[in-house]
Amino acid sequence: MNMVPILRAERATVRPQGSKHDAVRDVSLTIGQGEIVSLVGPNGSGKSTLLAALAGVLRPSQGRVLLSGRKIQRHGRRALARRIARLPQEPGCPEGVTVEQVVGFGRHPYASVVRDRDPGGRSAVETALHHVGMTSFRRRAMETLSGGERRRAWLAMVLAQQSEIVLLDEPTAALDLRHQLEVLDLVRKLKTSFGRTVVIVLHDLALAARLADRMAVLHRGRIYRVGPAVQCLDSETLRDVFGVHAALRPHPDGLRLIVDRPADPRRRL
Amino acid sequence: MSRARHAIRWTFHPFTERPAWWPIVLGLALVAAVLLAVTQGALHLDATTVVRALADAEDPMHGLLCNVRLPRIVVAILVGACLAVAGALMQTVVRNPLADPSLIGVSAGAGVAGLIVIVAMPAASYALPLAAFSGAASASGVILALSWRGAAADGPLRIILSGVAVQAILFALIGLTTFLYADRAPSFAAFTVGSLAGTGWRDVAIAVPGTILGLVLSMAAVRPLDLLLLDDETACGVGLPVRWARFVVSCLSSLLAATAVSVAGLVGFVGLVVPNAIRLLVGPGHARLLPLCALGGAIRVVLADVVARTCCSPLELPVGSLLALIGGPYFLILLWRRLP
Repeated sequence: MNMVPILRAERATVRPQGSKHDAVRDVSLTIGQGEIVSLVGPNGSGKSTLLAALAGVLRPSQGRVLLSGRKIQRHGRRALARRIARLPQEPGCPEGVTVEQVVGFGRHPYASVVRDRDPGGRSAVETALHHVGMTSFRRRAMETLSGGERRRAWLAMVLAQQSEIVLLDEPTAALDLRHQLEVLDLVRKLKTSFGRTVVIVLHDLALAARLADRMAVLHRGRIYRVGPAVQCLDSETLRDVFGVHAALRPHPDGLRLIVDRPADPRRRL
Repeated sequence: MSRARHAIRWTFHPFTERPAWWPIVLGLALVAAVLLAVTQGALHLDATTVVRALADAEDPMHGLLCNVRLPRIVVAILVGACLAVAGALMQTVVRNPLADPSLIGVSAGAGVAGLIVIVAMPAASYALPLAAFSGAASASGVILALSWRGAAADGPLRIILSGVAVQAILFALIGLTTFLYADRAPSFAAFTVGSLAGTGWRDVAIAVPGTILGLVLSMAAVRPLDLLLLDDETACGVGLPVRWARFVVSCLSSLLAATAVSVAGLVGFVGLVVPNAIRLLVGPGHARLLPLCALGGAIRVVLADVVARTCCSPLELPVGSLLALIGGPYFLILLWRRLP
């Protein structure tokens, strides 16, 4: 692989806040500069926890996470936010906050706490709104938007953060097919137009395979396979990790997942 | 019903569309409230008498105006501004519109510490705001720790319930102190319900530093305050040290609440009603919310004090009981609407 490693987990074991079990165990994963890596796996396999650890939000109990070769916790909170932006699964937002305000939140790492000096802020917010197609929604309150529009507003916040690494936790969850594709187009644009590095958690295997340069399959808190999607998603993986008899077939548009039937239900996943 | 609501919408339309108008509207309302408070009272004065008395030190009314009414109005403005902003900050910290320093024991914490200073060191009036602040900060620390399990405060009720428990203990301490030192402490009734009776320039001097410090620091922190509206993970993701921010903001809220308590006793419900009303007008962004809360709180306390002084003249009611009579039902409505 001819890539420059930028973000790297080394034998990381991570326990989510308030949990009694390690959701991620002894995971090593290297993210190269400018690539899109998708994390896939069944529910509870530790995808979101791994993403939070890569963002520096959760501290590994063993092992470490390195950003540009330096331990991630050693970067200051705001300095880190200038390099890594992470969009949680369901960001909470109180009533009455407008789209423009939400996108403006992404500029926090660049503004000083006391004085409102952020020279590039205005244009960064404008650009972000433009790229997600939300310019005309800027004065709308978040709670008046549809699910897809709200997602796009949050993505605009992440864009305005202008970080080289973007971590997205199921950005397509609860969206209809069209909005899913719109969001994924935007993610691809992050890489092609802006040169960002993207790590994305996705449930839809076919979409993940189409989008990502590489894929990491998680299974019970461990990495089951890493590599190009075609190699990762063979029928053995689909049976052992996802519990289905299925196959991934080549298709003019990319890959297509053909599900046959669930694997033996008595088999423990 | 729907027609009435439509009419209200329509009437307020120009203002809700232009939030910049609200500071002007509230500012004028405060001026009007102050004028009303200067002229009304046990002795009714008309405007010309007031102007003449203020200009002429020999005028028989000069003393009444300068030493009784004016300082009392200034204290009312300071107390109202402090309490409303303290409430807005507290609601942001716990992400719950039901939070108010006077309802969850923060003011009571300030009251206990303040009373101890009054009883133990009657001469040390400068120590009063400091003691009240430390009392309020410790009370809010205990309440936040009790209602904070794991990552976030869960449910609107938990913080209220732990606050009620802490408040009950603190009120018992206040009752005990005022009973044991009845000769030195202010009367239990006037103190716990909050009153502006007998306030003078000395009280203004006690309240001014805390008010200015608290308001200036809160205005400096509007950006992190806005981020605290988000959930912890998102706020953390854009670079806010969430725990630290929450600690600092609850200290600020305690400072403002303690400042109000050290001159007016436990005035309640201002911090609950005013921020919720202002939020309906200009939304939750703090850059607009906080200054308008300060104005709104000042208006509210000044007006309530006018009513307290005049409605049963010559008898003077404690202003806190009037505020609670208006604010209590509002709290019940909020509670009712938010409970499943």
